[in-house]
Amino acid sequence: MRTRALHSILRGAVIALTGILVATGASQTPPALAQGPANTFNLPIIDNARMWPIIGGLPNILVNKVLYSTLVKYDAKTLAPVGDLAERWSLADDKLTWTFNLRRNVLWHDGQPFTARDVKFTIERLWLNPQVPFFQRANVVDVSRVDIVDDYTVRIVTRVPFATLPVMLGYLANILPEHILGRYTIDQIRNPVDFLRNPIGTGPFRFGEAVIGSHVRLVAYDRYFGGRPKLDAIVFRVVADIEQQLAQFQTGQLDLMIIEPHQVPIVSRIRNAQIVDAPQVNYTFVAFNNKVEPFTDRRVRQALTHAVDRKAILEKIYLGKGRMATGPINPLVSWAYTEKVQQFPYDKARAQRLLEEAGWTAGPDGIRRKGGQPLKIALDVDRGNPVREQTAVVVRQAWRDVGVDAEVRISEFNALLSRIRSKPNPLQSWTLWYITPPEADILGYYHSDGTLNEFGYANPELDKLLEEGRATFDQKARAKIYERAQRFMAWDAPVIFLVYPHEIQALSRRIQGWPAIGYRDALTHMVGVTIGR
Amino acid sequence: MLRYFAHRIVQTGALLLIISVVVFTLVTQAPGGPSILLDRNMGPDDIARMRAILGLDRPLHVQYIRWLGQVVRGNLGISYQAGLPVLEIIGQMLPNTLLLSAAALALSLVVAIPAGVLSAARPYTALDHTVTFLCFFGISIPTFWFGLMLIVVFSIALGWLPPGGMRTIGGARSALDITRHLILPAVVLGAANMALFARYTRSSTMAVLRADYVRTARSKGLGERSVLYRHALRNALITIVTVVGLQLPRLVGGAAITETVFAWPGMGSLAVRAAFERDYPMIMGITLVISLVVAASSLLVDLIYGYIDPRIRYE
Repeated sequence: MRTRALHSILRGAVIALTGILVATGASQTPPALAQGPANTFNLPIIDNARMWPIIGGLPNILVNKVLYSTLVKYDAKTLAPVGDLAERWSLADDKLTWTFNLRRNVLWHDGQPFTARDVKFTIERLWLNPQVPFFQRANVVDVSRVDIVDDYTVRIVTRVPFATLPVMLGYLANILPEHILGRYTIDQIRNPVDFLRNPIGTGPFRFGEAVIGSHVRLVAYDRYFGGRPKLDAIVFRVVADIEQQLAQFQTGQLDLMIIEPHQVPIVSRIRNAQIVDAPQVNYTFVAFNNKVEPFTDRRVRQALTHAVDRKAILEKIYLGKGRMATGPINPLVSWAYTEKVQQFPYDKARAQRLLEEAGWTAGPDGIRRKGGQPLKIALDVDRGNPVREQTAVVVRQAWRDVGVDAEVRISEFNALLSRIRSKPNPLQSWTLWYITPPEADILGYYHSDGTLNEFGYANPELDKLLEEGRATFDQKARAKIYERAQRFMAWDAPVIFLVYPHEIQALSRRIQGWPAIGYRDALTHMVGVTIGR
Repeated sequence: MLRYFAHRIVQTGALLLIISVVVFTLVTQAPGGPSILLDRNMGPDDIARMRAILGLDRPLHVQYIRWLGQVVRGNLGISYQAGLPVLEIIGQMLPNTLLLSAAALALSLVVAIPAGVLSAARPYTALDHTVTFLCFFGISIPTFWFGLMLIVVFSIALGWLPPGGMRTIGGARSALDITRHLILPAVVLGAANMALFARYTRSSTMAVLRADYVRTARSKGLGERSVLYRHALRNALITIVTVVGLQLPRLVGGAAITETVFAWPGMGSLAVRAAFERDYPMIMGITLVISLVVAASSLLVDLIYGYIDPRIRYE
């Protein structure tokens, strides 16, 4: 009797659960599960986005790409700067004064007109204001002031000749509304809580809703100056876990995700998925701390570069998704890039010879020594990225093969970056990557006073070239300067330039008109993207 | 009774203070720093400026006192990552976690208690062995693996249920839609508890069934159902309530792995991201709320003891 009662409880629970499953699942046809409105493009972000383009972070950057506009953006094919909020621009003879003519038909998402006041406010009160922590200040720090000529014309004056200004104005430099933020106090600018609840931009999509931990939904802006987007909405789903992203992609809840090379075979098997190899302006590298022994010696740096089989790394770890790097300027910056530089093919014998020349001779245990000190190198890498972790292991083995007592240290990304930026930098060597503006100007990274120079690299000859490059306006003349800079850097080997990796995108086949470029830049060309059946 | 409460409240206050000091110290002294300070495009001057704006350039004790002062005024600060008040964010995430955890708890109790009692009533039979096997399976199975398997079967292969999220974005809000999203994470979260509760129910019920008063009850002619549920289970419940009480903090703390695997917007996934991003105000806010709930749930369990067993007195 009692057993029957318990059985009936259990049976009831099972039936109820099955009933819910059947009832809720009956209306669904696999694999396309509830996708929401059909004309919506869905992509993942790994955390909540703060729709405040003063602060960095990938989720913020992605959402802000479609919510806001910049004065300049990059052409979807050539990545050359083209007008966004600015229609055209010109440079005065003094090489310091730029005139930007603004579009006249731009409306903020609240219907107010966009004018020169917004540009002046954004640059002077936000970007250049030392009380505001603008994360891209390094790119515009040479701007001294903005003068309003009329409602649709501004003059941007720089302290020094600054050839790359238009490019930098397209790089994560969103213009914000003066008519709203102009009355904010400095504390409110630092924590614009009210603005974040209903952010107002000029981009092709306006704010719809943001549900913490779930998603940000942006809807097509009917009065967008470039014409109403063909999509009705873009949804940025907060999905931190890569497996969950893959599951949502497979079931049609996501239309795009960025994958690692080892995931390509899996995604290739998914029906309705296509793999897009998107070159982007980037490079991966093994960095040396040029301020400490043994990296102060060029021969050691060259030897360690020769010791690494970069071709094998590209083929086996990146599965060929990219191109061998020759320097810090990406081939996409085609007017400046040159591969006519000293190459460092995998050459173990040459690496050993260079180390011998530098005074590092092999001891009885095979480890090289100089003045009794063993050649010991710790290579740091961040945890969680399979490509970088595998690269670090391969490089360690390559260095061991030429008599270096090499070890890999894995730590969390924040901890690693924090140590790299300590003064002095306690690390010897590390492997990371850079994504840069589509420009040849690498002064920030390799000039001895460069604000982003994490390598401790200082060479007066290169400093001079980089300064010249920044101050030269004629592109042909600049190309020559950067050609010399690339040759010099390849020979001097301040870091091991590994690969220009492609961004591998898993894209739903229903998406049409998606430009095959890095998705950060592709998001600035969403007006023409459509969703088919 | 009142004295007991006053004592517990003072105890809780002191505990929260100690926890906040320890967590604040650990979090701010851990290697790395807030992600918003570590943007690759920020130079040393920008980072120093940002640190000053966030107050991170001040001595640790000053930072803590400043945070405590805010908390006393009911302000948990602004999240570095989302840019919104921590209290507001927790307020949005807490109900989601409560929903998931309550569903998981209900599911586990509904299955575990009858299964445990049944096992105890017929020990060492095929039924008992089956329940025991399933319990060990439930306890041993890694949450993330179980979650992924359910996603593979029910979402990808069968297409019955969504693999993640809490609702269909852009679709009409409905209880049915949320239920569909809730099923898989609730089953995964409930599975481990289900096994745990069933084991405790079995062992405590078996112990009670051997007690003299149960023999007396049987000898005076009470039906087996009445013996099991009115006498044995009620006394066995003390243990079960204790175990369930210990799980209560998870109602608020969320289950980090389950929420992450299923992209469920709750306290667990929020805590994980806050830790990764070193979002100090968010980490402290979550810690405070969870600590409060742990203390409150402990008090609640004590009160339930008194209800179940009238012999228990508060002094």
